[in-house]
Amino acid sequence: LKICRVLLNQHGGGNGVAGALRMMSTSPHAGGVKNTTKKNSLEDSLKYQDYFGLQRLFTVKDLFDARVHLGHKATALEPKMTEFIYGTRFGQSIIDLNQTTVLLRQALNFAAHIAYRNGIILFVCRQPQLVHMVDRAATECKEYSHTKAWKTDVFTAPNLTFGQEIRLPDLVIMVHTKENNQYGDHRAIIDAAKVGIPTIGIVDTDCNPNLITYPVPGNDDSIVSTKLYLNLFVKTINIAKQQRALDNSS
Amino acid sequence: FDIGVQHLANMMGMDHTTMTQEDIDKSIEYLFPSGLSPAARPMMKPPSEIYPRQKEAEFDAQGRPYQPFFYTLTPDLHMRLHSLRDNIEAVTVFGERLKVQGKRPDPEQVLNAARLADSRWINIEELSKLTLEKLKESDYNDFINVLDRLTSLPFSYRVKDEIFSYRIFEEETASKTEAFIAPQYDEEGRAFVEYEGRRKTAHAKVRVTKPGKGLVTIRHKDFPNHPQDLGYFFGLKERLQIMFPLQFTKMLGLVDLDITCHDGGASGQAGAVRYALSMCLRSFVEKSVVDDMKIIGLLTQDIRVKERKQYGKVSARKSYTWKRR
Repeated sequence: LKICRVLLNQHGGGNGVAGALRMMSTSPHAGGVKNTTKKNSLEDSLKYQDYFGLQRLFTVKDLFDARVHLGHKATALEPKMTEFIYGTRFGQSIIDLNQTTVLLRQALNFAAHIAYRNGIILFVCRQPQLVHMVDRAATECKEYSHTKAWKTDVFTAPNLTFGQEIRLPDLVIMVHTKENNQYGDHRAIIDAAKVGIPTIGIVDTDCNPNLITYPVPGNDDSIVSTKLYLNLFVKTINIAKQQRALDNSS
Repeated sequence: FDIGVQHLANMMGMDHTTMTQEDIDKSIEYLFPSGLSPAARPMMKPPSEIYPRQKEAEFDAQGRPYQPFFYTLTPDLHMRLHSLRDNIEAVTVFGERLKVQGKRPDPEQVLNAARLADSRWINIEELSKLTLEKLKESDYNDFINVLDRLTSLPFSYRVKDEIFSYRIFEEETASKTEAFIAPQYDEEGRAFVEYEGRRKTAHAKVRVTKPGKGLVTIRHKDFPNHPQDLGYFFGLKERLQIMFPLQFTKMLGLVDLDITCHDGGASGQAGAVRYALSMCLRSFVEKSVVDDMKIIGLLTQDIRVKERKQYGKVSARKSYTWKRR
């Protein structure tokens, strides 16, 4: 499921994510690249490190102001999340925002490319206080959302559940990766991995980032930080769609 | 359908633009006289009344669903839920803003229990029909919880149109039988009411005449020329049974009774008379007294009949003596 990372690494020979990105050419300025024609715009969009100009959408300070760096108690730390932790303060884990910005930009870039190619994006969340925000974000960028009790059959047996041939989502974005009881992981992570659907997930210090394609370490319990993430996703998807309209018309 | 209406109007010499459904029904009745039952007769109604509402196309040519909550399997319900949640937020914000200004909700408009007394929430079948989706009990309960939450906010009357679109107004559930029988008038102008009561194979036809002296005439159907008074019933038990409704409604000396019985025994006939008499007295008495009669049980027909004998048993319930060997 690191297909997408492989695609990005194709253009570079360097090890790791940062090396791959360095090898690519710089991003075009906002408003679209003038040289692309309809035929090869899909290929050309992959030649740029930041085709949609998403770097400008947020800064480290924005993340800090939205309390993205605040994790759970140090005793509740998931061992697989230790690489993303900057340290602890008063017994609370602090997430390394340098890593978060890199990973979040990757995730946004990926989401933008999916939206650019007319992909179906599904927002999944089961936290009661976030459900309405997520639904609204999905409607604002004209994508889809699922904030109810998750049924495995939706992904693994779609013909059975829907009674007809349907198109499954091309990307699943989760602003909170746990079930509404806070203890178990949301079943959609496993099901998306089973069916081959890439996922973007905001993982807090007590979450398991394993099966998520683009894990983004960050606070998932503050309303402020969730608002920030949803804002960013909505903006990127809208930018990508605008770019597609622009490229198709030229 | 529209073209058909035009042809029909042409045939009947009417104007198709001013034709109503009533005119169409009358024209069809005229053109196709039929001796069949009403359900089998030809009809001409707009397609929305004949064809059931179906779900529209769910996704476009590229496979993208039209509804944002398509993957939840109840997209229409979820869309309505989303709209209600938006309203909750909007109403809360509005309320806080007004609270800061020191203004309070208009007490006449607030959706309190009084405003909601004559209606009920849409039930699961009706909601299923509205959304055209198969709904689970949990989906329905969540929906009603959100509706309750919205209605309980002080400024919920701002979105009362949406709230009332999910409320069903039920008329006073009129019982299948009328509340009382309209009295008829005999040659002397006295009002009378007739009712046939039954108890345990006994039948009794009772006629109560209102401006009366307390005369009681009881006869057996097979002997119409031998009327008796209360002496028709030998036992005190039966006589008390008959007198009780009059005593309860305080009509003891005010009405005349004319009773014809057949079948059954003494006690059964007495019970039949009592029931028929109570049903007749409803017409001559206040509604509050009728409610009291209902509470006491005078207006409930006693449907108990003798249970049939079962094979392998002596009678309905009694078994044969159990022998060890």
